Amino acid sequence: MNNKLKMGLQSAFEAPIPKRKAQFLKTLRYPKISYLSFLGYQFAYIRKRVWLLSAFILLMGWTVSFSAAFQNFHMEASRVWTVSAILPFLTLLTVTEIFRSAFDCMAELETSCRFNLSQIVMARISILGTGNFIVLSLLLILINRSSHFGILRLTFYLLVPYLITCSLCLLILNRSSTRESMYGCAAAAGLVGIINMIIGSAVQFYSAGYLRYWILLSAAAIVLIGFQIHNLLKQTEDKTWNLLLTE
Amino acid sequence: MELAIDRVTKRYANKIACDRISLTLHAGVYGLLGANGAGKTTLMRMMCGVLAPTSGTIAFDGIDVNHEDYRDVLGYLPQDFGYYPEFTAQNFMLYIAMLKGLPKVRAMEKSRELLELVSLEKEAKKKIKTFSGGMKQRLGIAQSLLNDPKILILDEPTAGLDPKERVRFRNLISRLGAKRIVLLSTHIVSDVEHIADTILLMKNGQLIHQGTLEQIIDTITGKVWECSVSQEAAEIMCEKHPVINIRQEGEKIFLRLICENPPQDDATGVTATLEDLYLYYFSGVNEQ
Repeated sequence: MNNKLKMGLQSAFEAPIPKRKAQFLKTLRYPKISYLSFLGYQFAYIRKRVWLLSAFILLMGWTVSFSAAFQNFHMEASRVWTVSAILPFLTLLTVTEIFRSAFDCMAELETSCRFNLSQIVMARISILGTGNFIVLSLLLILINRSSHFGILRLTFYLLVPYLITCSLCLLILNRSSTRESMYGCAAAAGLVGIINMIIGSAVQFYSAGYLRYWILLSAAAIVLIGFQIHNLLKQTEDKTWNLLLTE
Repeated sequence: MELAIDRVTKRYANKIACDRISLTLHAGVYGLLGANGAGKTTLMRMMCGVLAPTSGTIAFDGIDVNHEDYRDVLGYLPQDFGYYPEFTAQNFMLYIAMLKGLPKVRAMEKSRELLELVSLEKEAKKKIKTFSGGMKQRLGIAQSLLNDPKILILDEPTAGLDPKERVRFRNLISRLGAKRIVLLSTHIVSDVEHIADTILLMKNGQLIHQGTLEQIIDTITGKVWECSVSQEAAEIMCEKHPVINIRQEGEKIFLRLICENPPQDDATGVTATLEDLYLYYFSGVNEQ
């Protein structure tokens, strides 16, 4: 049909008024969001306190490394344990954020949605894990600039308290994911922090001879974390999470 | 549109919550009735993919319950649902909309529309923790409709609603049942009586009856009696038969009860109701 004829028809006949347009539009299928978009939205739902504590830890790392207030800390170990003693609390916030659905009784509702509980938990682990990785990496870079330990030893000194707290919290919450279990996790984080401070005051633990024990502790904690994450995802897939409360 | 439940069983360590339940549901409203512990919630959870059955299958038009496409057409209101403490009603709706895969613009439109439907539009920006039980329940109903579901499962949807709201929701659920499968469980017999096209009766994990109101009531038709008796006779009758209603009338006791034959010569046979049937099965006298 040529354009002239089209124009002629348009001017000669008025287009009919659409009937039930709104209802019709509602029946149309719309494209659903992708997993990547879902991941982005989940990022927005992570509570700000996690990022605030991360920023505080980074600030502390910077202060320990460069501030004049810490120039009297001649012992290398003091610089490290000051920062590593606070890392268990970052773990605490991270792990409790992952288990949020159970604490706030959202697990059942979330399990029935298109992006279900196991996908939500995976998304949270990915986002928070990436966040923590960035914080730990920046801390290492910062402290390494004013330390003679070397990057490898520093990595283990910072990672051990973080990993041990993580494994203990996961162990507690996999057994009972109620809000009350959070106190158990807080106690575990506090305990690790205190032990870390006690070890920190005994400088010999930071000597090269003890490195193999730090490596051993890290490896044990990593294995335990792997096992606990496997259990956590299995629980969400088996749909047994938090349902014992209401059975 | 067909939701097929095939020999579904859920077994816990020392209890069978659902015992080989088979059902085929088509568009319409289904009312699930049963006493506490009958297995209603367990069955609903399995139908929503929240609990894994010990054996048996559940599928909608051939799509398995564990598949993402099944959850895509599902709307669910759990018996007790929580919320993140910092959430407002709108945040909650947008969060669930995101989990249901709705794009942001669509989620905003749909949330607004549904909050209006449940009369919560003025409270959209208020924190859920300030809401009454009825308001939370209305919010729960609204979230279940976000993805325009083809299967709508409502566990005690009218719990906590005042009589006016209950009637409103009964009408809403009736309308929704025209184009989708709606399954609702409740203890409020009159809710089921008013809106369910098909009634499902569960006891001890088994489906003991299913059918229309007339078909279901047929079981006790001609067995419901009313009479006035002495105190002593009333006590004997209460032990022997399921009593629906009992009240003092002067020196005598008025009884409405269910039994095969007239409990006494002057007893009057009356029309059976769903409540009579419910009490017949769940009063305890009739327990096997």
